Amino acid sequence: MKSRFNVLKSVYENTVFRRAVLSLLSLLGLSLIIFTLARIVPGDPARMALGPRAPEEIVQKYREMLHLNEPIYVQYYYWLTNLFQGKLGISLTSFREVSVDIAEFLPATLELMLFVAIIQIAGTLILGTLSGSKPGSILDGALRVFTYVGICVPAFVWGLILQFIFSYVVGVFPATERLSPGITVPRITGLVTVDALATGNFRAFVDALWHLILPSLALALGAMAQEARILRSAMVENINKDYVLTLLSHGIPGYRIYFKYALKPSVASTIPVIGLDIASLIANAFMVEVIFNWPGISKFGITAMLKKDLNGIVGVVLMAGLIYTVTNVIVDLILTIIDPRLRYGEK
Amino acid sequence: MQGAGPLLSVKNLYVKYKSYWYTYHVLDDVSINVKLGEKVGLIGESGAGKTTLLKSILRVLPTQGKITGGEIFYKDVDLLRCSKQRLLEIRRKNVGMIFQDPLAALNPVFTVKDQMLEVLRYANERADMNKSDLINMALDLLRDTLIPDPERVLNSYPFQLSGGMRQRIVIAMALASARELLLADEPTTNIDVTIQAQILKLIGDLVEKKGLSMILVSHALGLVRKMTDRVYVMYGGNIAEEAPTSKLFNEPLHPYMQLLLKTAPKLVESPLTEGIKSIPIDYRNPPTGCVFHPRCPYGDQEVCRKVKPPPIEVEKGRFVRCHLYGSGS
Repeated sequence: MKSRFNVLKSVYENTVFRRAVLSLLSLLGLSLIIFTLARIVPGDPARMALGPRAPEEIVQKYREMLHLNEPIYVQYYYWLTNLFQGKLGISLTSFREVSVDIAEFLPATLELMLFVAIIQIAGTLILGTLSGSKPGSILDGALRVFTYVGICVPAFVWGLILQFIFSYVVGVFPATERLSPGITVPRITGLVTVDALATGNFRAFVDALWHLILPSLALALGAMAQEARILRSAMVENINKDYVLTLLSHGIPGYRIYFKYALKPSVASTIPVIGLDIASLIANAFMVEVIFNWPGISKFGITAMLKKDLNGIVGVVLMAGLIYTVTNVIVDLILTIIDPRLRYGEK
Repeated sequence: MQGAGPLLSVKNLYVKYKSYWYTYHVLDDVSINVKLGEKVGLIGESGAGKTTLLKSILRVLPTQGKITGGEIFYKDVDLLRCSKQRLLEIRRKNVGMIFQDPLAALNPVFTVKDQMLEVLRYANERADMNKSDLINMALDLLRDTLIPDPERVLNSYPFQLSGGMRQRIVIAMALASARELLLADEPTTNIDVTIQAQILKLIGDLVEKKGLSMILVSHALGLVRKMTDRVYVMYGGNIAEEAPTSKLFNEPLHPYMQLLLKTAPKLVESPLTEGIKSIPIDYRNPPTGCVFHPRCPYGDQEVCRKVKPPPIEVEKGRFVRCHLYGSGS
């Protein structure tokens, strides 16, 4: 008899250790590539950081401080030793430790990602199942039109549309920022909703939630539409399988069959896409962050790239890589939990 | 049928499958009935519409399938027009169906227990039912189907079990709902030859023990002969012949059935048998007149090509759709 604990244990033994080692190696590879790439691209980081009017000797000094005159592998060595002390180097735009910058801007994006994930997953499961369980029905047709539009319209356009309708015309949701003026929340985790709950400030929690809805929707809609279509096609295939017809022949109500017995074998193809879409927000949320004036990491990353902020670029890309890796591990864990064949297959 | 009225009667059923480009006329004016306690066989080559017929009865056709005409009565309930709730009740408590492919009939990502308890919960709606009662019922059903170590099997995933074992589970599940009528759709097709006879015998014994009526679809003619009272022969979405089992096998009337019997291997004489000249039916555009005429040794008459033969009652309870046995007018 397999208990829940045993299931989790076998998942853990099979995947987690192997994946952890592989992930570290690929992150190391990623750092090497982005480190080199950032330095190969033309442009003088020191000059750009100090501005066109800075005297040449100061710029030269700055170059030496950043080891920019040394071979790339020596620079990489310096950077790596720094990394093992927990330092990513000084940002050339904010002139602070990059890790401090990341710690400041990342939580806003993480919070956004969290809510996008909730909306996206719930929406995908509901729309995909409704659409796929009755292919050809009116509801299916309507949902397919909606998902088509969802795929075609980019996130920032959704952002503008939502802002126009819900904050300008109707005026129910705030257009920008994370909190209304006058409401403050002490910074603990950086996730405003969590901090508000932790300090028992329920009013701030609701306010933060209210601010999150439009940007999350803007980011979720397109991805959700695409994922719902993937789920739909898997569903359409599975609802004619004998194991679904068998349950139908036993008089099990449709909603139980579709939302449980047909959904579970159908989601396998959708989950990796959901994972990737959510992870990609770390960089792709840029336009939406700009529109909603959201102090997130995407904005920081793009600025670093435009200003050729070497340490900033490497830091942000590595962090994005880390988030992708973690997401992939989570996706794999979910897949093994869903499909028992993956769980026992290896033994 | 006169008398007590049949348990199940299907009248003039038409079923079509629609794909994007084509319409397939799969069942064409099919009528069958099953009396209380009767075991009815349904034979015919692959693609004759047997599975479609069984799935139509419980209205569990795949999404492309549409019933376009006819009636299906279970006792006095019109299954095509009754309320959704009534249909669910009959599916839950009266009729059970064994699907053809045991490897496909169990959900790969749920345990046997998940699936059996789901079925049992709806087949036995009683307020005082709790989970351990349901588990005991599931174990009893598994024991009925002669599954060794039912506790282990109940907690397994389907892929951890053999084909024969899975077929027994499917049978056990069908029996949970089949209190009166069992629809067995080629229950031995996809399992080992050595197990096939065992499974069929098991089904026969259980049907006898529980006093069920049954429709048995099978290619194993010998077993159909042994297990059924009456047989329908299907060809190309039509009922070619209907007869009491012993009469059908001793003296087949329809040319298709005659040929079918000749294909059955025999121990004496030459072990190789002749097949039937094979032209699969194109259901998009079925042959005019008698659907069997392109393959029939007597099918070169004009009437066979032009007129669809009506069911002709040759003797009481014995129908054949063939122009050899009467005029088509």
